[in-house]
Amino acid sequence: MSVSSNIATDGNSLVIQVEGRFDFSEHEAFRQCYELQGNKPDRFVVDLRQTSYLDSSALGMLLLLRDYAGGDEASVEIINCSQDVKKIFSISNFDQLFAIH
Amino acid sequence: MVSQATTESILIADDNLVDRTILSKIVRQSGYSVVQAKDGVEALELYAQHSPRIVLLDALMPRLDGFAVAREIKNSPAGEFTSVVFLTSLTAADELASCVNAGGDDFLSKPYNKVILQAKLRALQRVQDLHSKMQQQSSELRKHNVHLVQEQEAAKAMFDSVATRGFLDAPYINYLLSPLAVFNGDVLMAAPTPRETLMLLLGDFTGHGLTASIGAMPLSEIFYGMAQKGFSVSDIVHECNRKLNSILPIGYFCCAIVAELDFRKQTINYWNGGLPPGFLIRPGAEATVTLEPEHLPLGVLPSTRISVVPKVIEAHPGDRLILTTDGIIEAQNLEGEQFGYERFAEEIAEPHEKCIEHLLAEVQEHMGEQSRDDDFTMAEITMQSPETAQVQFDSKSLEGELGADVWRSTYELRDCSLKQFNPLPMLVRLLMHCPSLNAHVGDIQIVLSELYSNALEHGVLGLDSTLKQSATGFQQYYEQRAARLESIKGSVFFEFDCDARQPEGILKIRVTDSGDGFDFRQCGGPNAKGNLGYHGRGLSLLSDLCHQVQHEGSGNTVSAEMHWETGH
Amino acid sequence: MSELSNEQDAVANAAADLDRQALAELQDLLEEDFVGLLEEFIDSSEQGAADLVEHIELLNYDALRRGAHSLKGSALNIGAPNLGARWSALEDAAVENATMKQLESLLQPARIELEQTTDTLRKEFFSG
Repeated sequence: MSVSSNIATDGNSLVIQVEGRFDFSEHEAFRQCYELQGNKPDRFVVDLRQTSYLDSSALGMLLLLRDYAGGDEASVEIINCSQDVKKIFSISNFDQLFAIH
Repeated sequence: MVSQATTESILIADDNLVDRTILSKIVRQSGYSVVQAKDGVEALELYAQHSPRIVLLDALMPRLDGFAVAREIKNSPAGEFTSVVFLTSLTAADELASCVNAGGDDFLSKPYNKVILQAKLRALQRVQDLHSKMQQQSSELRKHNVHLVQEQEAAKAMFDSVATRGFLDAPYINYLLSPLAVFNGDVLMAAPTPRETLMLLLGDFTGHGLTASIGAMPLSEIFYGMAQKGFSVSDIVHECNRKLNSILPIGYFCCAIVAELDFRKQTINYWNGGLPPGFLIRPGAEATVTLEPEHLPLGVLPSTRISVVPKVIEAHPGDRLILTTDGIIEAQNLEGEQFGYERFAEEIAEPHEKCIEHLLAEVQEHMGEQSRDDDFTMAEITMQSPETAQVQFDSKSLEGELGADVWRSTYELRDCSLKQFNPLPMLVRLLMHCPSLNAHVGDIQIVLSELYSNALEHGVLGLDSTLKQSATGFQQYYEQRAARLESIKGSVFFEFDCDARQPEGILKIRVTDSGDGFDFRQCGGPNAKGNLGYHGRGLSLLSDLCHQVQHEGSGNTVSAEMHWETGH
Repeated sequence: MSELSNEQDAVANAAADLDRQALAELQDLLEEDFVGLLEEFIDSSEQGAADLVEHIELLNYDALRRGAHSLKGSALNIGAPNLGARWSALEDAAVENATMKQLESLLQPARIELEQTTDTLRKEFFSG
């Protein structure tokens, strides 16, 4: 499985890693990563260090996470984006919705 | 025990009569009927006649051995599954292997043991039952699939009729819209407007298939409906976004560029939400302009939260506008390397008779054997002079018939409806039934909205406009406005008088509110276009757009008169 | 080895060593057809054995193998495992293309075993 998650050392953040292609085939795995958490974490971090490609359905999945995390009040960070992935975020202007590093 | 199997027959093929007789007895006792063959050829004949689901085969038989019979049975095209059991006292491993290779499902060795044989028959029966259940399910699945394909084809027909429609046949528009699956998530639409401009929309919905196409239906309705009524890029973006945001589930959206090409003013107004930058390529040494995505895609945020202000760029005859979705740019070769934005920019920069075909060939060369996994959609529009653009807007196509040129109407909005309902879109639609007014929809929207907010805020709600002059007052003004709206009482009364006969149309709009009015005569004398010397009420803007604007009565009525060339 | 000792036993005993339980079960299964089946077994085995003599003379290994295989199957089924083992040895020898001498040395005790088996069966089950 190429989607995995763990609670960060601060105990309040859920870190989700996506490996390889981030597209519709990861839909269930990605959703389960955050929905199956017992207590809803305060912060969500999506680590894309190992992500080679991301398509528009991945953007949709991130919107779902954002909605789950509280919509406009959500704290969702996207970290370790490659240049290609960053470009996709900047074209779609998702940097207006997420903290992207 | 095998009660439901009483009608099932089992074929037993063995050249040895003694063995065959013993086996037949045991099988009959187990509740099956038996068909007996004494060699391989006879076995195949009887198999064809009786179609038994279980066949017991001796390996060594005259004429045709058991291996050949098994192979023939397993390769027969009939959908039913046949279990083949080899009757053998073969013991060498390679001989057993040839039984399996020939399609044998089990072995039965001599001497026959009744208990073992009956247990095997029960097991084979279970396999048969399982198989027929699977067959049934797979035939149901096939039926569902056929149904699904039919539905998808119907949906595709609908989708195609909205995805590429309108003005795309114009000789200066080239486009490529290649479906990946039955239908794809890309839409390209073009419509002439009453201003004789060309409105374009290129969109890319998230995902593929049905989900991607669902949003295309309302999108195309809104686009064509609004474009031909003369609404602006902002209006169209606002409405498309509102609609998609309300109907699409979270996570679904549409990256889109909406652009208005004005061949007379030689400008392009565009709004890009999430599509790759478009290009405006100018012949000669002039720098290429990019149409950057500055907004989130349509449907992500509520319309109150997005900016719908378009950008304006100059575009002269011969300039080429090139728009694309991400499919071409992200096309990968076997090594996973994308075609890339830079290469795309490079390829289209050179003037090319068949720019799109050229690019497509390049992309396919890049991809090699790799199968495409997104849609290749792009459009190339060459800017024209007003004469060659020929965006002749056929106003008669609007709302069907000739429309209403000479008419009067009144409309009054009262009490709580003033809080709950915005009458402006409805009134604009009413006015648009006069065909020649469609070219002026922008002006009319401004005039109506100024008149209405003046009547509502200063008339019915009695708000003091001088408040808005300071920053704290501004805040106060809107707090008061909200508070007073809660218990609003009163009315706003609209009167329209339209005469659009040749050569000049005249529209008179009178808006009367239930407020106290004011002494407009004390607030500066009438100016050239009316008596709007008083600036506090924000109506001075209207004097630029109208032939005449003036206060009447006790100051609670404002009348505006617009003139235009009817041109027919 | 073990086959060899079986061979000596079989020659020593005039009565064939049959699987009594298997025969009882067969009788049970076939009821009134039982005797008919035994007759068929005896006839087809004697005919089969005679055919084998011919196959060995012509060194027709394939026919020999098939014939021995068939004889082995019915011997085992009828409850005559020793006879089955004789035919089986001959079948194996045919597969291995044994010499005529070797084949004949295997056929001989098999025919004796067959004779004893049919004698025993006749004695025990044929009333007339």
